[in-house]
Amino acid sequence: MANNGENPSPDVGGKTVKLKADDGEIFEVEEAVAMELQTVKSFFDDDGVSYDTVVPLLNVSSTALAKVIQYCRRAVELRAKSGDDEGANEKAREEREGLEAELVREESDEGIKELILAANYLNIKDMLSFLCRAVGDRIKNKSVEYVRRFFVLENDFSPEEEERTRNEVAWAFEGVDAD
Amino acid sequence: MSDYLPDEAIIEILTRLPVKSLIKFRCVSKTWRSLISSPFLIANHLNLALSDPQYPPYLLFHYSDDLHQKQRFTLHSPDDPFPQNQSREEGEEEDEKGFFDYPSGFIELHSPLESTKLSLVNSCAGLVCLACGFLELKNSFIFWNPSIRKAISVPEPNIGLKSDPLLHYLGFGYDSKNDDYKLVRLVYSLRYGWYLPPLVEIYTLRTGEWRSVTAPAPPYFISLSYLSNFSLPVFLNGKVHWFAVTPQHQGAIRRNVIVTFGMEDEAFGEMGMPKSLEGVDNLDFFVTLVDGLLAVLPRGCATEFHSLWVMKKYGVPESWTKMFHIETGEGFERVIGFTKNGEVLLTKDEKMFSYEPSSQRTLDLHISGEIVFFALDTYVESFVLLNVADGDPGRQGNSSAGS
Repeated sequence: MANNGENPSPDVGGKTVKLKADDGEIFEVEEAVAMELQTVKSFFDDDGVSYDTVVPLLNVSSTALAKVIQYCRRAVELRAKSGDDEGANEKAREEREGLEAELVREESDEGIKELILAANYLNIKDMLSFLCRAVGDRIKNKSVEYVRRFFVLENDFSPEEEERTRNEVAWAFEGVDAD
Repeated sequence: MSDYLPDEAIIEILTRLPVKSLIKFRCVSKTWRSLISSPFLIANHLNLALSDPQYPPYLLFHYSDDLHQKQRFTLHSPDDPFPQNQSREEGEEEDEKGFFDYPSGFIELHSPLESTKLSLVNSCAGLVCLACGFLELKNSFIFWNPSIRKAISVPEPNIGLKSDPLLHYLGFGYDSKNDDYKLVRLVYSLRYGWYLPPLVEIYTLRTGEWRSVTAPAPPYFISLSYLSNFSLPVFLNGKVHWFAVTPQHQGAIRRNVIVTFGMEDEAFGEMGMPKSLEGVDNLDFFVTLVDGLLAVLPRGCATEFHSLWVMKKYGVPESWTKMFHIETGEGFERVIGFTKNGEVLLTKDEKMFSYEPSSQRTLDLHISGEIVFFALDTYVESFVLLNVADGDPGRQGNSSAGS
């Protein structure tokens, strides 16, 4: 139950929250960062729930949770930097975009899907948004077959139906990447 | 850990895909086909396209290429300089890919109707409205979505021509409250003089019909003169905008104003011009959008242009700000539009030029065509019309796949 190496114990000064991943690993996180996860926020909004309670996140793996926490921590820092100054805002926005690009760049397709599941379950709107855009960029020029494999979907068209649907929009199939 | 992404995530991904990809992915499965065609997804996709700064609208450019007997519609990235036409020789072999200097910087669209000269009314919220012919009062209009290569004909309006000389003005817009696209038509009878309000009718995509607009219309002509007849109506913040001059009548003084028509409430309004220009006689105004703001460019009887004014705060006449003077010298007939780069596109002797305000230099773009058909607007990709039944424009067959 040791803390993940990327999640050092925060200073005594701030309030912290404990989050438990599906494998039982506990992450201790600053309150401001934990509240980025709407699911966690709702958990504490209920009356009578003390901040000492460990939040069980049964659907999130520890790998995914570690990355989510890392992202949210940076996002909170960047948000604190921006204010009324347009120049500072612009810089913060660029940094955030860099952070997002960095997060998805090295991820495999499986890794991104896992992050999406986590961001969806934890209800982190901004994170879900850029992850979905990243997936969109990866698949937009791919073939229909590739997309079926990616999302693990069954082709329930009859051969004639599929042929007909394709012919309706033959022009959309120009320029498809090889799988 | 399951490989299956929940529906909410799938929708989030689909909403951010370009139209061409989504059309293709309708073939993934039956569920995806109905999901992609669902009004819910179509509306969300459009809302994102309209509000997300990561998806700036394209520039939509139209002109009538008489040399090659073609209607040309192109989409341009708003950040690039306006491209020059490479094939400058008469009779030179037409090479579509290399037509402009930046073949990857523009997309050539398939005109929805090859045989007729089309003029642009305006484009908004993912749909383009075109009229057949120009100033000939052909009462044929088309709603076109180039993203999905689909066009439908608008039925003939009710207020017809008969023997009375008529003048009509159009405005195309989107009613976001009711998720409806509307075409408004103001018809003036030239026989009865300047002070009668026009008859007004409106067509909406949802009803598929024209009906009268009962709200009182201002009793004066929208933009009477030769030049501003070429202003496209400007759709902004839910309203169509036109230039008009209030008549000197019954004690009132002549004023240059902007007339508005709201697509949601279907009512007319008026907006003030820059104070110093309001009472000036014999001024013609080109009304347009510059970087998303309402703008006017006045012009006197002598063919020179004045300065560009921009309304920095919408609806606040005190916020009209003079931007720069247009010093092109003589011979330029009309301004077509302003690009995001700050270039001004103009015509001279049926050719297009690009003017750079800071250097005051003009550049011949070598794009020739009939003056009246040059038009510039913005366009956002969408799925609008996907679920509307094909309405053969001009009974020439629809323009989806296969054309």
